[in-house]
Amino acid sequence: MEEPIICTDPEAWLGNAIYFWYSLEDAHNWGIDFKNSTGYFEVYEADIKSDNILDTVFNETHYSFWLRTIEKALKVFARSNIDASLTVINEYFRDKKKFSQFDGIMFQDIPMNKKRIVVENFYYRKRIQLGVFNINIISNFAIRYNCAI
Amino acid sequence: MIDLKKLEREIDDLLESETEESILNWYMSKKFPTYKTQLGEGEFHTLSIPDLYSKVIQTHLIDLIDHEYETVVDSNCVQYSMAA
Repeated sequence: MEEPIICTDPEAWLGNAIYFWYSLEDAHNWGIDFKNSTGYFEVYEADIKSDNILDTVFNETHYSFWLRTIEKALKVFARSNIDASLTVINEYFRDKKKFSQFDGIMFQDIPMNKKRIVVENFYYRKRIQLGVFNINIISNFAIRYNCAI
Repeated sequence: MIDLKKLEREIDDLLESETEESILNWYMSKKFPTYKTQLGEGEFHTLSIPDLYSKVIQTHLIDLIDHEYETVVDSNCVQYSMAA
C-alpha cells in the first residue's frame, strides 16, 4: 500500500476509520488472526500526530469524558430498547458531528488469547488501538516487513 | 485540543433533545449488521470443510519483535503499526 486505507467493516468498533495498533506485536497478531485467507500480510508503521486525539488510554481527563459520554448515551439508547454496542454509540456521535471533532480516538482492551500469553491467566498488557479520522495527521507511512502465514 | 467541557455540554444537549422515537429512527436508518442481516433467514447446513483456524501456522517471528513503545518522534507524535 502506498497510503493507509480506511476500514469500512460495519462492525469495526469506531466505524469508518484508519486503524492502527500502538504495539507492533498487536499489528502482527492481527495479521496472523485475520489474514489467514490470503496466507500473507504486511505490517506498516507510521508517525501520527496526536495532539487532537481523544486519548482514553493514558489521559485521565479524556477517559472520564469518554466514560460519562458513553454511559449517558447507553441510557438514551436503552429507553428505546436498543441494545447499543460501542460501534453504534461511536457511529451516533460521529454522525452527530461530536466525535468527528477529534482527529481520532485511542482505546484499549486486554489481550486474552491463551496462545500468546507467557503465564496462564496473567493478562497484564494493554492492547491499544487508534482509530484515525483525519488522514492528515499521519506521516512517514511505510512498510516494516511482510509475513507469510 | 478541543474544549471537552464545551463538547460535553453539546453532547448533553443532543442527548436531551432525543426522544425514544428519534433515537429509534436514527438506529433503524443506519442498518447496523446483526447476525440475521449477515446470515439471512435461511436454514443452516453442515458443510464438510476443514477448520481453517486449526490450520494456522504459528510463526516464531513474535519472539523476535521487541516492544517498541519508546519510538516517539516528538512529544505530540507517536509511532503506530498496522497489518494489511
